[in-house]
Amino acid sequence: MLGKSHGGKLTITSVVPLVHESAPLSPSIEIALALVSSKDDQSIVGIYYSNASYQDKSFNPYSIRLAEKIAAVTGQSTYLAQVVNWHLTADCSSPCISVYQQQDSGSWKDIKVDVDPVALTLVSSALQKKLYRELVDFENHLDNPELDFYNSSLNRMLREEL
Amino acid sequence: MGYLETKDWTIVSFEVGRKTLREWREDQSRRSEEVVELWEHVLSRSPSSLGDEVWMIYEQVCIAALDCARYDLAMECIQELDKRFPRSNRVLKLQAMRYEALEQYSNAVSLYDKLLEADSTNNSYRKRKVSILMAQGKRLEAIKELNEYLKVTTQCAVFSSSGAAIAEKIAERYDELTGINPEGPRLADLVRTIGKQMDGLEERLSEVERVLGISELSEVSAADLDVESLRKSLLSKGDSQVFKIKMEDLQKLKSTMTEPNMKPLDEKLNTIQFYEDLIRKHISLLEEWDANIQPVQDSEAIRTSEQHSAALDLNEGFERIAGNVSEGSSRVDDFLRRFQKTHEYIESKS
Repeated sequence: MLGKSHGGKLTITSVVPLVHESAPLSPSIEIALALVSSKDDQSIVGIYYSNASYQDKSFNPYSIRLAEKIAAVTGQSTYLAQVVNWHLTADCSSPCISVYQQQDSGSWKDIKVDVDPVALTLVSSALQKKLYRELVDFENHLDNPELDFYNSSLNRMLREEL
Repeated sequence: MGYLETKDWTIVSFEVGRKTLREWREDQSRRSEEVVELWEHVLSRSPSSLGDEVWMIYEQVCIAALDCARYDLAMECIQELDKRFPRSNRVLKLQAMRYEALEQYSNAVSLYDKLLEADSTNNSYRKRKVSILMAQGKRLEAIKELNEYLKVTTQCAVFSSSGAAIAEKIAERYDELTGINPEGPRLADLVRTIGKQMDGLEERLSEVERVLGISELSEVSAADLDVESLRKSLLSKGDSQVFKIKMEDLQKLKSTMTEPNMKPLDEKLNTIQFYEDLIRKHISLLEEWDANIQPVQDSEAIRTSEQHSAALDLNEGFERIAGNVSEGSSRVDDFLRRFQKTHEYIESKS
């Protein structure tokens, strides 16, 4: 997740999908993070993930490790966003993410999220148009370097939907 | 073909649809939603014109449909398959997978257990049981079941894969060492081709293993089995051992290969025999080569010939100098002659 924080509030402006395997290997993630963090003015503020199992809402150990590593490098607290599988519906009636922030004690605390309602309708129409088939992550990029894991063409399509 | 070849699968032609499904079956792509789309919009129009391929397609569509929670379509496929192949294990497995998708885990497990009873060597059922436990979040039990699964797989898989790897490595090294006839067929390529035909010959391979003296490695218990390191140690050990095989052992190897009771495997055995013969032949060639090259390297001949050539260089130098001298002297003669003439001419004038 990329974003900016101002006045005690954090705005997530963009995300870069990294992996779809449930147990990713560290070298590819390291490369991906190095590439993303060197790209633009935005900084990496956290990790988003979704569990493989539909009913699993636990913290994913890989994501936790990754978030802690990012915190160690950036020196700021990182955020962890989980896509809760059973809240994902075709009409996107509610935001399906839970966001957590790591406390000094090391535990993760649930924090409040505001989602732009326009975003929800956009996601819903993107689902109907099956735009998710266009999504490319860094793993796909490693398989075929022609694929753009920043998903600029998908972003363009989403902008047209607005 | 790009990973993201996005296409509207609802409007492609029948033949394209058929070809696409076949491609995805072969490279085991998980493009479930698109498979369902292709089936419903294109291929289901005329299943009968698909010939026998239709049964594989039903199986593929069934699994894809379960992936997309299209239980109705999955059931349709299972019914069609069941009509054609009544009480087939493969169809029962699909049925069990349907239970799995519907989260009726106990039904699924009991069906898999029944299938395992009928065919305990089919590991795909064990794999499904592991994934059921994972879906239920029972990690510990999943690990236990996975160990059971590995116990069965590794026993057959480890050697056949490393055996082929050993043969390939030896062949490669041989090609590298000899470099004879670079245009001809390379041994490494041959072995690689043969290696592909070696499936299902564990028994034969374990005999080879025993003769090569690397059999004790396969006694490792399955629980502490680290496939990768086992493979490595087999490779490092086997590679050096193969070069040290005694002739009598090779004879034994050959006799086990040609035993009459192994007749049904004749063809495959012949390929193995062929490859072992090749290696043996090449080992003896290598030894011969080594034996021949040694006296040459040790002998005085090389040094002597070096002196010879140095001497030759010297002679050449002399000749060159002599040549230069004679050329120079002939010029001097020439000059003297002309000087003489001029001198005579001047004298006659004066």
